[in-house]
Amino acid sequence: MLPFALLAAGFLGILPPQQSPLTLGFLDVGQGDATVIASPEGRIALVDGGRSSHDIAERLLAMGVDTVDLIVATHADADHIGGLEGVLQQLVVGAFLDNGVPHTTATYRGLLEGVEESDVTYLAATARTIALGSVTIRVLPPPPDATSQNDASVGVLVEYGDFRTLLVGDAEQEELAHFLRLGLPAVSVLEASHHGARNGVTPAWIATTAPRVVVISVGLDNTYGHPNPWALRYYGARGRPVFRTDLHGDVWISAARDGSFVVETEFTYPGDTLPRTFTAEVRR
Amino acid sequence: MKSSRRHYAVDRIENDLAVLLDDEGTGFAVPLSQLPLALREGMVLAIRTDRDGRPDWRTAAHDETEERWRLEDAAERLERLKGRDPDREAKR
Repeated sequence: MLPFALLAAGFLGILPPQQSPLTLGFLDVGQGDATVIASPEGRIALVDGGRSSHDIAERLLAMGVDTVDLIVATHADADHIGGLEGVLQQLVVGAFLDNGVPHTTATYRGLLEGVEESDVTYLAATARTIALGSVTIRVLPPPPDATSQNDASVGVLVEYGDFRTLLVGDAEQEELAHFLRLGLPAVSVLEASHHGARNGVTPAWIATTAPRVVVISVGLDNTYGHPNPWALRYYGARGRPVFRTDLHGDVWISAARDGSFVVETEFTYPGDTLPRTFTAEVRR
Repeated sequence: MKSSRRHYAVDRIENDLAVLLDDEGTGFAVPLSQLPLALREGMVLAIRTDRDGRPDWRTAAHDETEERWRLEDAAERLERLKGRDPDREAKR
């Protein structure tokens, strides 16, 4: 794990000195999902919290993060919310946003109890924008008639100048079509939906979001077959870099307002064709 | 430990695996073929455990009463939380 503050400081040396970076960390949480967003001003958002009850809280504390301004629980599956109750217990949290769709698991109930018992601001998943310092978080609400937790995932579009990142939890094809109807811009970085499952990507989704880089949050040797080989070919078409937390560990991205960004991975793996540090220049 | 019945909630279904969570939040990926009923996400199952606490998936039965209670409890909590949303009049 790279020390968060040191990592951001390192990126400051790579980017033009007058620009402070937005830092994104797609954390290796095994089979699950957890993304840290740090604004140039040091404001922190956490999108999902992996499945382990205390891992993500301890990792944030180890990075020197003791306050999370915003938690987004994209949906209530345990591999996305399992660590969030621990964050509520161990860190100062400003606001919590979820999809508002009830679930029956003890993990979900514990999280709701944690939110209720704390004094965090609850935010419903309406079409709203949230300022995280100079970073804008645009909330993409799920369709009101969603029939599964996956297809009720909250979408999160992170915007910092010309840089954009899109995260959509475990949205499947039906919800991806819904998000497309809301209107989406091309993005710099796309997190593969549903850990790279085949039902988490469509031709229209890739064509519209047109990511320069894809990140897949997925556990090594998971029992679910993630990521799907067909989806991988799709994400990696035309030489597009695809970073995976099962193979690269933590994937860190530092972005400038002009849209340029640097990807740095925790490690590489035998046969890896990607450099440990990947730089994406401004798109002209 | 005596044999007993415990509750397991269907967290999600991934291909041919059901991910079941017990009331301590421990997850079990169980092949659908080992379960005697058609599952859906959110279903609450009562499952017999042996003297060592190991679940016998073949004994799974749908506990509709427990499931309804959990959903109603969650819905009530969400309603209370929505009252704390500073923009609670906003519509989806």
